[in-house]
Amino acid sequence: MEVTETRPNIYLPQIARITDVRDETPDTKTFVFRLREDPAHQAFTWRPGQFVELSVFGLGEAPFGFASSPTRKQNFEITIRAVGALTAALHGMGPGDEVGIRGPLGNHFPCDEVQGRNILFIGGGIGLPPLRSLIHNMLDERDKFGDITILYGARTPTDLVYKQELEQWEQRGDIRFMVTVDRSEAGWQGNVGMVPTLFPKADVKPDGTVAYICGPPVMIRFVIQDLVSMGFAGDNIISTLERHMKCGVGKCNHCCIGHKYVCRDGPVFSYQQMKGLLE
Amino acid sequence: MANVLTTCPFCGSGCNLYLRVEGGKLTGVLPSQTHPVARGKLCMRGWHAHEFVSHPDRLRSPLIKRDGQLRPASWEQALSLIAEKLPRGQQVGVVGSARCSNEDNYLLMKLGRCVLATDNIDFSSRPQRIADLAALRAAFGFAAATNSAPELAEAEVITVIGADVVPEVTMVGSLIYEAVKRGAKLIVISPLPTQLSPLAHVRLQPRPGTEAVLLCGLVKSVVDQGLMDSSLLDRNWDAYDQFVSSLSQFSLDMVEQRTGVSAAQVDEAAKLCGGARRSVVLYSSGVAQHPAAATMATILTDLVALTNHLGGASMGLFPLARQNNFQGALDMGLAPGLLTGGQSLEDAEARRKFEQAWGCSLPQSAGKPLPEMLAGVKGLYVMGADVVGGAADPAQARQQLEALDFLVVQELFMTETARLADVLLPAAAYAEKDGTTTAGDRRIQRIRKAVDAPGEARPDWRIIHDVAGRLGASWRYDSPAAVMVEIAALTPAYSGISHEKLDEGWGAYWPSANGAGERLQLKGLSLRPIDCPPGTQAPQVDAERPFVLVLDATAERWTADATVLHCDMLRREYGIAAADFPAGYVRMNPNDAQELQLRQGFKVKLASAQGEAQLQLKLDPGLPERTLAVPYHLRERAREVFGGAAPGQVEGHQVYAPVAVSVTAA
Amino acid sequence: MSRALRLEKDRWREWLAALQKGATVIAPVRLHGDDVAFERIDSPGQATLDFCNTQDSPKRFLFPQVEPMLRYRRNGGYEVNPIYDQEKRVLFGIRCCDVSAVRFMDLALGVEDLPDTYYSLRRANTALIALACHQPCGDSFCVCADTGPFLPSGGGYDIQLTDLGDHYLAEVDTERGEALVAAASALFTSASDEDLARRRELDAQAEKSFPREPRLYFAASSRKVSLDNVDEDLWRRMAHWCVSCGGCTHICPTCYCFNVTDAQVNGDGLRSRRWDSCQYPGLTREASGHNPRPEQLHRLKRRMFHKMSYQYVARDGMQGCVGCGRCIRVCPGIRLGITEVGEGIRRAEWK
Repeated sequence: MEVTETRPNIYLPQIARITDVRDETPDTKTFVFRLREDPAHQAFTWRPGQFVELSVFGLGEAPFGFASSPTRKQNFEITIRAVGALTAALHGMGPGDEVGIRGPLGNHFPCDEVQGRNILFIGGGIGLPPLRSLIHNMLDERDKFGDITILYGARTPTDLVYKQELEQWEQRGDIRFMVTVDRSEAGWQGNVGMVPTLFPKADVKPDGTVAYICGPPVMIRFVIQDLVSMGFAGDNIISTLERHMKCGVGKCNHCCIGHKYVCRDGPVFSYQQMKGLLE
Repeated sequence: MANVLTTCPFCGSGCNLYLRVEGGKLTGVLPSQTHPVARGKLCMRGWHAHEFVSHPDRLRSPLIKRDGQLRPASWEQALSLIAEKLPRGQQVGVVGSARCSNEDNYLLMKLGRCVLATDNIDFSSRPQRIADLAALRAAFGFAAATNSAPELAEAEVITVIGADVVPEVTMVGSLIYEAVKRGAKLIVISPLPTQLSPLAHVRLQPRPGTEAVLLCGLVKSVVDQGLMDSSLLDRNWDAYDQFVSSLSQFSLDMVEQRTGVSAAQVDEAAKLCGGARRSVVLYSSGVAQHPAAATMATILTDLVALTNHLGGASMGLFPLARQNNFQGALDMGLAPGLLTGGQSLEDAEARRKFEQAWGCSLPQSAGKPLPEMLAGVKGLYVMGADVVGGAADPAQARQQLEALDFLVVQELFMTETARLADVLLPAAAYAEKDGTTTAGDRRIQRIRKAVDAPGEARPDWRIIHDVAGRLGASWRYDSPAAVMVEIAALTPAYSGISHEKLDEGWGAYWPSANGAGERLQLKGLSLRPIDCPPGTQAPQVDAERPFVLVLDATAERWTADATVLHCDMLRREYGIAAADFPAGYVRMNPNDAQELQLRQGFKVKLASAQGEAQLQLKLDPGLPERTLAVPYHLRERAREVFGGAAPGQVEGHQVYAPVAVSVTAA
Repeated sequence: MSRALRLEKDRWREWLAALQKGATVIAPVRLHGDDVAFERIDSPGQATLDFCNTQDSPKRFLFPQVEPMLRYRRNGGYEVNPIYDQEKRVLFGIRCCDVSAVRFMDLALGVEDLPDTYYSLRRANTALIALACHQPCGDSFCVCADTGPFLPSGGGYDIQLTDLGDHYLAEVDTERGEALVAAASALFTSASDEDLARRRELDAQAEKSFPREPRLYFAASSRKVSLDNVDEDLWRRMAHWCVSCGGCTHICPTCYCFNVTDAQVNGDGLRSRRWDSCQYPGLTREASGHNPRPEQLHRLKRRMFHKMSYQYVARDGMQGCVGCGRCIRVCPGIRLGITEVGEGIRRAEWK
């Protein structure tokens, strides 16, 4: 076997440069990247729901979902919370700094398959970034989809990501956007309560609707329960699963759930698929 | 590519493994199928025994402290400075290591006594064992296990006291599993849960602090059930009648009252332990680091003597060696007044023999052991030991080392002790030198060089040799094998031992002369008197302080070990508790937690009459209710609530007694 | 494309000498005592064919315990360079169970659409000369796994040797095998029909001579494991015998969990991978501290699921366990070799 263009080294990262960094919350930033070599960047594309293995050389790799859409390919964006050594190091980086990128990896959110359907996005906290990739994709092809509703919640107003963009979504006439926080803060005049409290206000209905949910595992569990009791079919509830990952290409066995590999068979799973998984 | 057979550097089980070498680097390990202890197996540590050797943090160059910073220097500069600054005689102390080889330790001992003219000699893990070792020596004449490890697999009854064998000394645990699979009965005695406890046929869980009372009750039950060896009764045995009558001064009801263990359970354990021929008793830190360690160890020597579980196969008393060369460090005379193989400086003949062979006079006055040594000396020479990290009272040890005029340290990594050095010398690891180590069951085995040491690091024995030369000695050892020739010549127990001999088969037991070294033949036994009933160290609990807090010396033995932490995989695994509980933790039964409305991870305040500590809560369903446990390696965080380390029964023994505490959310 | 040849019994080392001219030959070598392991030989005299099975499979020559993957360094921007092992190797004297294990690894790691680069490269440069088994060795149960004691054509070897007494039968199964023969063609002659008949006889005899234990009744235990039909308490009681050494997975010729880490080595950065284990808690522990397999019983269950479930057979195209029996010997807890655990699962009891 030789390492060739069609059989590349699946463990070899490409080099990407940070072109911009935006603060989202006290512990979360959005990083904007371009692959360093221009031909590589031109060839690089992804589908919403996929992820990359990002190298901070010396510290290792970690998986992060795309937060931007392939319809806007001048760069790609990832929104990252600082939780450990690697993400803390990343947070110390700025424009011009280099990282390694392997990807796109994993499967993706159904997109083309749901044309014509009503789309319901439910995001919690740091779960909004991967959804944003699909949201932008659908907004860029707005007429292909039915009603689009975005429901988003975070612990506090400070914890909301993409604050300015949320305001823009609120202004748009062609989508319904609602936001809530678990706990209010001074100056907040919006909804207070967990995300499911938005369901009646948003007039959520299962007919012809596909729901995409991303957020903390506890939140996903409760939201799925609510949707099921509302009559959503398992196939029409789409979410993501997380496990500790290493190689990202289905070899090292860190991310297995039963015989499914979150990095290959996921990270996107329908609720129907999730039910069949044995730990 | 090569497979180099060597002895594992971690615990005292003494497994052998093959280090795989490719291109001058260690690339992995392979178990040895035929080794009598390893039997084709390795524990998690053994499977990663190659990793720390090539860790990037290995010390590679001599370092000399200038302006408060350790800076690279040449060997020449380092050795010159040592020759210039290291004090002699009473002013200097020498600390060896249970990790280094016999040859390393022997030359260090010789450096201390012959060249530095001091008897202030010790090794850093001995203080924890000072009480039980003294009891063994007093009873048996030897401070060592009476039988070999492989014999455990064929025992009929195994009694484990104050030990969590499987995580601490894993392959000995494997031999116990083997015995139990064959039908052996297992008795586990500990106030705290252990990995073997679910497999125990009899499980005695005394209240913390009452263990000595329980053991006394066990012996009493053996006597009352007539399980003493009858052949011993025919002899006119000194003190036997006195011993038995002292036991009659208390009853099993009193045992039950004080320990919480019923008379029926004690009788059952005694019947099994005393009744079978092939019956072994093992113990570890739950005895050795107990406030009543001397009493408990004496009770155990009495127990095996009484039932005459001595001299035959698969029986006897088996103290666990928690470090690969703990036994060897003892054997090489790393203790004040102790020469090799248990010979004493006070024995005129032995003294003469050494003085003649060494061509120097040995110190006349007895030296000081650790930790007392640290207060009395101006200079210290430390080989392969983390004196601060291993001390019962690390804060005090730290202060004392900082106060020294001159500190020399030989090490692999920048440990806390290394950081305090005035001269820090880079040492070779076990895989980078030849030598021997002695496992906990007295098996002497080879370690073999597989790869070169990094940078300018040198084998410990070589460094000592060079230091001795600078200090005026004219030693001419050209290899560790040559050092062993001398050791064997001067040490009856090691007579005939040589590297060549150890290369045949799988090492050799001491005493080697008579060949059947697996079992110590102990003559002239007498029963040692014990105070009956022994006192308890169980604290008084009351409504204000309803919990008993124990400093658990049997838990997490490897978590803070420098060599473990420099193995990538082991660092990940052993680091989980620290990652889950960054503020340190105390274990509590979930029922107790629920009652107090506390949950996993909550910060709690423990308050005793002496002081307080703040730790996170870790739920442990195996703990008895109202018992809390903090692992020994977190003792600094819990120092105040225990009131620090206190003197034990034997001079120099520092112990942490259980305390009564209240628990509140912090 | 099989061809059957004869090799004179006392000339196999000459063949090794010839093979050494073009490749690194790795053969069973006697170490200390009765330990026999695969090692690269410098001279044919070091190799032995007088062994039952090596205590270590040749897994580490295709999937090393520590394997460097790439170097990185700052030179203005980052330079990243992969490290490829292009060495040609011949694994000589490999038993049929281990050949089957290689076939499994080819499927699991060399999957069509996403081959493991480093494994595939080593594998492409490695030839397998198998040695069929006349008798069961120690703890093996290859008859249960259908991976021995002899292999048919297509079983994964390049050449399979059978000891026929005064000479070896050499069944050449691949083009690469032909090339190995060509390296010393003078040593080989055609095999006779009697040779082949004798080989079939030895195969049948060997199969019949396997003892009743250890055995793994795959169908029954796999079914329960696949349907998650094993009481959690049973797993718990079995796990009391586990010391979490990971030995079962390290010694297993079809286990391949690995971890990847970066380290600075002499100024350069080095990314390498090393054996990991589903028996280690840290494999699945997440940054948040949550661990989906928090207790040893969960990890034991995981190991059995990966080795024995239908789901994995369907995924990989072959069963993971090849019946070599090494996990039985390697277990410090004595009882957690796959056969005893399998029996515990099948009978739903564990004393």
